Amino acid sequence: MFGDFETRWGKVLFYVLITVFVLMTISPLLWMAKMALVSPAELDVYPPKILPESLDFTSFKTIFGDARFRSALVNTVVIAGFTTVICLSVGSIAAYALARLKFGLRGPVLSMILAVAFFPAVAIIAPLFLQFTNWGIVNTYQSMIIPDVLFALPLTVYLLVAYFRELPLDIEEAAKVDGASPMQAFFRVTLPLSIPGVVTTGLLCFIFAATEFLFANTFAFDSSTQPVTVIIPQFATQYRTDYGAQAAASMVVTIPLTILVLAFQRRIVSGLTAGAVK
Amino acid sequence: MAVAARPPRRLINRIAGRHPVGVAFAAPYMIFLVVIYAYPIILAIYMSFHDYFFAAPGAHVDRPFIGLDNYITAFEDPAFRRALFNVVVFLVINVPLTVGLALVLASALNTALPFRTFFRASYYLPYVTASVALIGVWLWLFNSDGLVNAIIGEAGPDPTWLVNRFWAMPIIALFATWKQLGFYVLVYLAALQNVPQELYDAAAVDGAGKLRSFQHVTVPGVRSATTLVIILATIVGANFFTEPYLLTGGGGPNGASISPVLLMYQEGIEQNKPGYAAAIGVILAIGVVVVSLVNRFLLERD
Repeated sequence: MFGDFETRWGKVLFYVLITVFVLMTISPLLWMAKMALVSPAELDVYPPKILPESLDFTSFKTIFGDARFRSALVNTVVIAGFTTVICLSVGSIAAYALARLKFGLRGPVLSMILAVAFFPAVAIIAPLFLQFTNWGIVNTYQSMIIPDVLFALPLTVYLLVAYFRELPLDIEEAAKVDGASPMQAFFRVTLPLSIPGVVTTGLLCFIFAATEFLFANTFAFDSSTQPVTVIIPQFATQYRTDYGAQAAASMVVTIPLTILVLAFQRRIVSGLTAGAVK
Repeated sequence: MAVAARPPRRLINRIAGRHPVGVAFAAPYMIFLVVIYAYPIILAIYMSFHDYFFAAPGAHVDRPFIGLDNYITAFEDPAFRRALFNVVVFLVINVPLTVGLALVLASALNTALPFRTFFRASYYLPYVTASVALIGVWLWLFNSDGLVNAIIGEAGPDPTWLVNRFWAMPIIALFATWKQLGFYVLVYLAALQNVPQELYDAAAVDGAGKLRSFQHVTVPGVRSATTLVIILATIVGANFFTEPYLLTGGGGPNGASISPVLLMYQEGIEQNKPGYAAAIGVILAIGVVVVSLVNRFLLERD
């Protein structure tokens, strides 16, 4: 709708506006990169300079020299990885049932999924804590993977239902005419065809679990299980926050996720688009 | 085939439907939900009516039934009232900004724009970055000797932004808006694909300018997306936790930026009063559902 502005000035104004908004979204991220890459001395200069004057890897040395951070990276990958795999395996068959199969419990299943999506996650944190204590799994990977899966699944199912619905029905029908059962139709036809959608959904699950803070902060007590999100705020000396180390640690987490998002950017947009169209 | 030979089993057939295997497909998710989710919800409701506390596993302790005491305590607790007020402040800032900015930006990004991929990606970036990672930057921006004060100089408030009773909440709301905006832009982008081009053409033929066609074609055309955005933003608003926990050091200054979820966390986990925390959770859950229903009713009235 803004595409063909009648006047040149309208067009200029439009680009100025959209650039201002882009600056607003990415400048804090650029600032984070700057904070991570300058020397601790320059970080303290007041007033702060916009452009970095030194290039210094002290902050990166600090974080990678810290055993807690190294194990936190591993913990994040393990927790997010398991969350993704479980979400995709449980979510994809449920999504297929909801998208393609007519079974009597379809309505109740849909409303239960909606109930999870709309219910505040934290309302159950105290009872979950109690339950996990009884099961003896507090401060284990499971204690984070289970709630992560719980709250990532509604979006997983929502996106996968949209992907499965987008596939032409004819292919599956043809498979059924050839004598395939619904199970075979799903595993041999639908799933292989929707690999791009499944990968995109998995990426969103991974990002969700890798950036999750509340459950990790509640259920993980020490560096054997704490993921990076819990460790980052802890970079501080006795007297002051080490902003440089925090920024460097944040970059180490953000950059791989950013690369993944950029690589799958087109698919994420079309995936969410497909999901939201209904 | 074999189907015809089977005796009629009405109830089973009704549950099974035409594709009984669907039940099996959905079963893992349903079992997971019942084991992990239904039990804690029921337990939360149970706990909220009892003087509950955590004890060593296996220990037998007395946790008496106290009726509505936890709920009465909540509504008499100044911290909880402040937390509810803060949710309102948060929503008043966050929801209109989110809806307005997301819709305008999505409309802009929906045009044949050069570097469109770059623009889209840059809105998406804050959304995929962990709050925890971004909060360090925001802390530093709004510190007393941070970038914002360095730019505006003496005009900054005293005490500075995040330790100022008045400014702490608005900055938290702005942070959340900024962080989530990319997601809502995408929701609107998706919805805009469904607004027929003919409507814009017809509006142009009738002599409507860009602003008028935005007002009379785009806005009504994406109304169901607006409902979704408002409901999701309300849920996020009722649940904000990371921001006051880290940005203002646990709801500071002096509880000025406390949120209901943060209060639940402090009371339930840190203070070992899970019954009270559960009562807050139940109130919050009921509130979210009611607000969502009211929103939906108001927005989809005709």
